[in-house]
Amino acid sequence: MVAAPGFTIDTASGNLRLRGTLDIYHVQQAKQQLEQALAGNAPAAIDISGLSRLDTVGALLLRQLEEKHRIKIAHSKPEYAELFKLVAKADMTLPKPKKPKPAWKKWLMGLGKQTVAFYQSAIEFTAFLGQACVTFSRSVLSPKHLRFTDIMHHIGETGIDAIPIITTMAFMIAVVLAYQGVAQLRPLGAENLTVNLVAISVLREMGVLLTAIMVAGRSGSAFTAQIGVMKVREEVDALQVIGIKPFEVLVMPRLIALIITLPLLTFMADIMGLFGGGIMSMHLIDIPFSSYMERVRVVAHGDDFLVGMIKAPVFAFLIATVGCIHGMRVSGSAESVGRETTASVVNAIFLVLGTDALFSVLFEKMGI
Amino acid sequence: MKKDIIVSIEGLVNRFGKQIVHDGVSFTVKRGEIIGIVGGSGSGKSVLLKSIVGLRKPDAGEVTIEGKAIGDITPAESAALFGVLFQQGALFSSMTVANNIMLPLREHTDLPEKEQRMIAQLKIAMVGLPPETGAKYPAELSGGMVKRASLARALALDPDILFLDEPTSGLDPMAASAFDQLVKELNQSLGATIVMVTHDLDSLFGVCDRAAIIVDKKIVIDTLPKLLKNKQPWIQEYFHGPRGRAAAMASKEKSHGNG
Repeated sequence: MVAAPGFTIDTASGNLRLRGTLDIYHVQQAKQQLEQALAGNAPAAIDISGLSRLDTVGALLLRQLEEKHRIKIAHSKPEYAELFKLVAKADMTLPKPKKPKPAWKKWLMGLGKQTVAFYQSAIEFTAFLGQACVTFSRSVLSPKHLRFTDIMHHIGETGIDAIPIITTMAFMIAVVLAYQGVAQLRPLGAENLTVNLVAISVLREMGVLLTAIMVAGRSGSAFTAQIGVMKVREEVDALQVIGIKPFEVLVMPRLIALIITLPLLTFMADIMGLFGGGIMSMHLIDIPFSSYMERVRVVAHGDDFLVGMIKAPVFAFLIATVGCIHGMRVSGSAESVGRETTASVVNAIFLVLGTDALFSVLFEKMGI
Repeated sequence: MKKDIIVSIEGLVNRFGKQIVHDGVSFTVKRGEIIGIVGGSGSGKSVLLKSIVGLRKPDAGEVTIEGKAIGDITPAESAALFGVLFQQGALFSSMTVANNIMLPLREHTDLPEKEQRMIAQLKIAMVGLPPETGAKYPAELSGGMVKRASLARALALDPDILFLDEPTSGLDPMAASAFDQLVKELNQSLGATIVMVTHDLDSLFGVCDRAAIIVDKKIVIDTLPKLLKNKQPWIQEYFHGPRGRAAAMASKEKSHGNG
C-alpha cells in the first residue's frame, strides 16, 4: 500500500481513526484538526493503526493529547510502543532561566571588565617588551640563538612578497595627492607648489604610514594567525617541552625580520611616491620630469626623508609585537584565532596612528 | 516492504590525483539495519561516507537513496531523508545546543518557536543528555556530550537514515559503550537505518548487523559471523588479531548470556 500523502481524521465510528503521515511536517496541521475533533463529544480512543508514518514529534503530540484529554491511544504495532516508550521516558523539564541583570548593572560590569582587561594588556605589553630586550641581547651575545634561517624566511614573507603591493599603493597615493593638490592650488595660481605638497607629504607621512598600515594588515595578521594555529595544535606547548623557548623561535625572528623589512619597504614606497608625483606633474602642470626632480631636491631636505624613515622601525616593532602577543593569547578553540587576528590588526593600526601623532608633536617641538 | 533497499552504491570510484581510493565500490543498505564501514587508516572510509551523502562528487559511479540519485535530491529532501554525525561533532560554536538542534527545524518547517524549543528539548532527552544542556554552548561540553548533542541535531527532523562518522572515537570505553547502546536503542525505537564508519571493534561487534570492509579499494560486505570465516588476508588479520579476537569473544559471551 502506498502511503497517502497528508494527514486525515476519520470520525465515522465512535473512535478517531488517523490516516496518512503524522510527522514533523504535518504535526501543526494535525494538532489543529485533532483539537477540533476532541473539542466536541470526546471519543473513547484515538486509533493510530492506520498511520503510514509516525515520528517522535507525532508521538509527542499524541502523548500530550492523551494526558490533556484523558483519551486512550490505540495501536497494534510494536514499533509504535517503542516510540511511545522513548517519548515518555524523555525528561523535558526545562530549568528556569536566570533573571537577566538590569541594563545599568551590565554596563557597569562591562566597564569594569574592560578596565581590568586594559590594565592587564598594558602589563602584558610591558612584560613582552622586557622579554624581547632580554632575548635580543642574549641572542647578540651568542648568535647561535639568532635563528638566522627563520629571520630570512620571514624577511621573504613580510618584505619581498610585499614589494608589488606596497609600490603600487605608494604610486596611487601620489597620484591622488597630486590631483587634490592641483585642484586646490590652481585657483590661487600656486599649482607649482603641488610638487612641494606631494614630495613633503610622501616623505614625511604618507610613505611610512600607509606602508605600516598595509604591513599591519598583511603581516601582523599573519603573525597572529600562524602563532595562534600553532597554539591551538599544542605546537607551542611541544616546543616548550622539548626545551626550546617559544619566544626565541616564534617571536624574535618575526620581530627582527619586520624591523629590517619595514624601513626598506618604506624606502621603496618613498621612491615610488616621488615617481608617481613626477608623472602626475608632467601631465597636470606640464613640468618635465628632470625639472620636477630638480624641484624635489630643493624643497625636500634630508630631514624630511629621515623623519619618515626613523618612524619605520618603531612601527615595525609595534606591529610585530602586537601580532605576536595576540597570537600567544589564542586559547584552545579555532574561533579564538579569528577573534585575535581581528583584534591584532585593529590594535596594530591604532597604535601606529597614535604613535605617528606623538611623533608629529615631538618633531614640531624639536623644530624639524 | 520491511527489508527493502534504502541506499545503493553502484561502481563508485574516487581518486585524488593519481591515487585511487575506491575502485568500483558497490553495495546496498537495507532499511532498518545497522552497517559498520571499516578499513585500515587511509583506506577512504570517511571519503566513502562523504560521497554517499553527496558532500563529495565521486569520479564515477552512482549513489541512490530511496531510489533517487544523490545529485537530484534537494537540500530540503536530504535534510528530511538523512542526518549526519560528523567526527568532531561539527556543532555550530556560536549557538547553544538547543539552537543547533532548532536550526534545521527553523529552516525546513513552519513550526512556531515554542514547539521548536520543545522538540529540541525532546531530542536532547532522547540522546540521554540532561535538560539543562540545551542552554549550553558547544565549548562547555565534554567530548561525549558533544557527540550526543551532535546526534540530537542529526535527529532533529526524524530522518530515515543516520550516517555516523566514527561516533565513538575519542570517547572513553564507558562513554563509548553507552553511545553504542544509544545507537542500538534509536535503531530499534525509531526504525532508523544507520550507517557508521568505525575504528572501534567493540561497537562493530556490539551493534552492527553487517560490516562493509574496504579492502584493496573494493568493498566486502557481509554479516559478522561470515566475515570471521573470510579467507582474505587483510580481513583475517583484522578479525583475528588480538583486539579482534577479544571483541568477537566479548560479543559472543554477551549474546550467549542474553539468549
